[in-house]
Amino acid sequence: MFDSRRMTYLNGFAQRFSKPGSYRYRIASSGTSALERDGSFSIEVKDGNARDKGTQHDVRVRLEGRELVADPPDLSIDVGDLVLWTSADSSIAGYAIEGEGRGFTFSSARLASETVYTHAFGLPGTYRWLDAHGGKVGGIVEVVSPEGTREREQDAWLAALGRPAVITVKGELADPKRIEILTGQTVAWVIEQAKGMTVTEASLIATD
Amino acid sequence: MPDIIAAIDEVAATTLIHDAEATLGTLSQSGSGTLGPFTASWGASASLQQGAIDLIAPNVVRVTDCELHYSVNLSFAFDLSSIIPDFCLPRLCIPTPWGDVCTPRICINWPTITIPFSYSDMVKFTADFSLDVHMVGTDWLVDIVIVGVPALNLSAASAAILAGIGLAAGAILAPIPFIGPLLALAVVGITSIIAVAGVTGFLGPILSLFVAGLRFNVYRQPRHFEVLPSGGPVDPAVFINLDAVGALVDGSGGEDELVLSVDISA
Repeated sequence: MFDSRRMTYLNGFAQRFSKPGSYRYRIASSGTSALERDGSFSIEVKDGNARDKGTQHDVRVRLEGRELVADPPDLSIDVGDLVLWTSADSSIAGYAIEGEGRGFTFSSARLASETVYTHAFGLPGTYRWLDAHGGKVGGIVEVVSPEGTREREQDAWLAALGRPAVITVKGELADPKRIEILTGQTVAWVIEQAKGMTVTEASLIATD
Repeated sequence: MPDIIAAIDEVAATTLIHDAEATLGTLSQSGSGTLGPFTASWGASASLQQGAIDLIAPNVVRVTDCELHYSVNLSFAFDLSSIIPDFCLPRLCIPTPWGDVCTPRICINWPTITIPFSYSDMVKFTADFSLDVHMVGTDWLVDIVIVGVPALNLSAASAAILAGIGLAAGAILAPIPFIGPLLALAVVGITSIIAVAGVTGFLGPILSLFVAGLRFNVYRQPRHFEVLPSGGPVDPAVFINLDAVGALVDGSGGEDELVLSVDISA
């Protein structure tokens, strides 16, 4: 199951910061109700000339006691840089990144322009995804089992795992609308333009 | 010279044994054992049926092609990481209009899995039994008691069980995320480290529990019992005592017979 509102170790969320300023964010433990509180972390975006290609900064989300924390907790980046949040802890049931600053908000639960959400698909199947906030954007990810069990075929599968599939979202258009990948491959939703959407497996919407 | 001599031939002895098998009913055992490198918990039940009797003087009752019908339920758990190698999704880079976004490696922790499995079958065996006459409480009993532990040919059953474990493992492993083509590798890994020898080494001791020390009762009689009921106030019931009971296989009459000899007193 995948849902940008409830990220796990199989997900990543990246945000580009194109405006200078101070931003604070928290890691909301959306699926971990037992956690006591959610910490507050900061990103300082320094003024300067935004480059077309920003530098990536990695933040690891991890469990410290009963708290979800960001590592590093504070970042200083240049305008135009990207911050990627991931977690290596498979015991974290679900989290969301939610931040704001200087008239700008960012959230993995409301994916807006210049964000990326990734999910690694572990099991074969047909996965329909949509926007849990009611937007019309959506599509289908077909995950198929790799053929063959011989060493050569396994090597080919392992090589395929290093190739992500990319879905570009512009407004209510997702391109491609349907995508086929092998079990274990990662799909990246590159949100070029959106006002606040989710990438949510359709079956989760029915149970919300 | 005994007071009473009773004799039955092999046909009658076969009937006696079949009755004794039915009386024995279904036996149950449970425990844990070694299944290749794994420790498996198990429960088993078995019953004995059929078999032809060959009487061999002076003290052997050979049961040929006795059928041990059995059912075994087993379950074993292990860390899948001990079977298939650790696995990590590689770091990958996603092209975006703002530069590549590169995700870190994601390492998959394979879970500990439990494989339950059930199997039912029948194995035939031939075994020699010796006669055992003894008293329990106030009853005389004539039993036949298995001599040693018969060899059970389990090669076909072991191969079938191993194949079944492979199928069960496949079904258990298939829903594990990211196992992909490693599924087949894992199934082969599990079955190859258990191997037919491992199954035989597991099953043999279990089934031996049902035949080791196997004892059929073929005769039971109170030592003191009424042979004639009371015929009235002046005609009391007649009781006798079985003072001694003996049993042997005698072939001196030209045919092997199971002979019971009894000394009685009033």
